[in-house]
Amino acid sequence: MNQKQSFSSAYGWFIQRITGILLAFFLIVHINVLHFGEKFFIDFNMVTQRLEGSFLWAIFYIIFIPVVLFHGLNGIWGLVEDYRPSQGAQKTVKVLLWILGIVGTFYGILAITPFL
Amino acid sequence: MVEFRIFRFDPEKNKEPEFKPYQFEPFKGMTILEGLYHILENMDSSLAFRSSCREAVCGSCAMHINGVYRLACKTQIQILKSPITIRPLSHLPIIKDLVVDLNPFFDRFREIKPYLIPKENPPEKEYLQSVEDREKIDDWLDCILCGACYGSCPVCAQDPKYLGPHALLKALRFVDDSRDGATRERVAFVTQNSGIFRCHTIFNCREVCPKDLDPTKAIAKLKWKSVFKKF
Amino acid sequence: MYQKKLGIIQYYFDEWALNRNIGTFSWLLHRLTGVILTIYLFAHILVVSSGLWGPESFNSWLKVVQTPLTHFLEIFLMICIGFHLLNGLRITIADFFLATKEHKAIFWVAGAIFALFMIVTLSVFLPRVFSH
Ligand code: FES
Repeated sequence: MNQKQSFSSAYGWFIQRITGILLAFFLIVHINVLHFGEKFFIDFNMVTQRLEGSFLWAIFYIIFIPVVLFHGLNGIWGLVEDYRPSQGAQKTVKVLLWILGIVGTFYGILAITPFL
Repeated sequence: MVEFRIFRFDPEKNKEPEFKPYQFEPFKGMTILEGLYHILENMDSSLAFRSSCREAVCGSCAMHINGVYRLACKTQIQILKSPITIRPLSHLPIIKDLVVDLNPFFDRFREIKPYLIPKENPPEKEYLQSVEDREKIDDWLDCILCGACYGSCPVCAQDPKYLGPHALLKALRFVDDSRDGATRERVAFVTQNSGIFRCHTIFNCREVCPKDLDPTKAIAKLKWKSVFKKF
Repeated sequence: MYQKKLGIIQYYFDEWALNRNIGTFSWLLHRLTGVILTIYLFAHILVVSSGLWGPESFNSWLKVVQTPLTHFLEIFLMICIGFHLLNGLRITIADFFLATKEHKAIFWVAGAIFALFMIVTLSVFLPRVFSH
């Protein structure tokens, strides 16, 4: 019990819960507006109509995308950790997930810009 | 007439375990453990299982009975549907039939130092504790270390280093104890990789606990303490 | 001594075979839906990002992903989202408020909300499946 321990994994668990609660809100709004539209076919015009010119929507997605990516990838990390990979494998997976998350965040926000 | 289908494995004879059926007439109020003794005495003397107190105190006789981990001495045959399938505890190496090697279980238990670590200078005579402080640990005291929670926890299967519900419950028992001086070290220790954050809140441990303890709640409390460092 | 070998996937079936209760059920589905949703998330970002190459490119991609089959799969996606969201809240409530005793009651409340959610979902998506 004397070995040095860090509290860092505590924040992973806590942020996972907090992002989960945030996502409950974000997802309900997002799905309600874009996936539950009355139209049968979603196309470019329909999406722009709903999102266009709103500063609020830009902020919405700038928060939503990193949060959802963090929640998803941190969840995968929890799954990987359960299988007790070696130190090297842990590092590789961690780096991979961080790259996926950061690239995904920027690309995802970029992907929203044509509609705003 | 009741049928027991018992998990049999003899390391000297078979490579793979098998289930053997035994049929007999139970009397009213007969427990699973008495049934096992009946089989041992009258039908098959090669059957191996652990037991001692026959009254849910020693924690020797936990096994998987008809889909749930329970104490054989605390479960009556009447309340179960025949055939009754009996397996040993999961996630532990099987020595013979229903006897498992409990070493991994107790190794995890020892890791959290399940004894009082005094504060700086211990009192001359005995430790005094107020009634209120004593009530705080009431919920975590009754563990008999039967291993039912360890067998039922899916995380323990994948990670033999995972501390397990039994050890974490005991850790909280000392964290909540006003007399204990190593609170910070204890919380830091259970925050390790194979500690509380491997718990996925599956609730199996609290479902199966024969003493109606709540390791899930204990772990949740430890998680809370480790995030906000309120000891 | 004998110890059962752990298969990476088989493990989940083994645990389900030995612990058939609400907790294990939710945990298994939570994992499964979590992985599915993460994969869907990246696919979703990729499809939406086609808008970067102009409205035509976006529309042609959306034609590909809006067929009866994908609309049908979308219902499945909504099941995943609904389950993962509600079960996640259930676990969070248990963890944060130490409400472990009530977890079964919360499960059934969440089940009722899930049923309502599915009624709404089906009323929106079923017409889409058959609109082609
Ligand atoms: S024999 Fe002691 S607990 Fe069952």
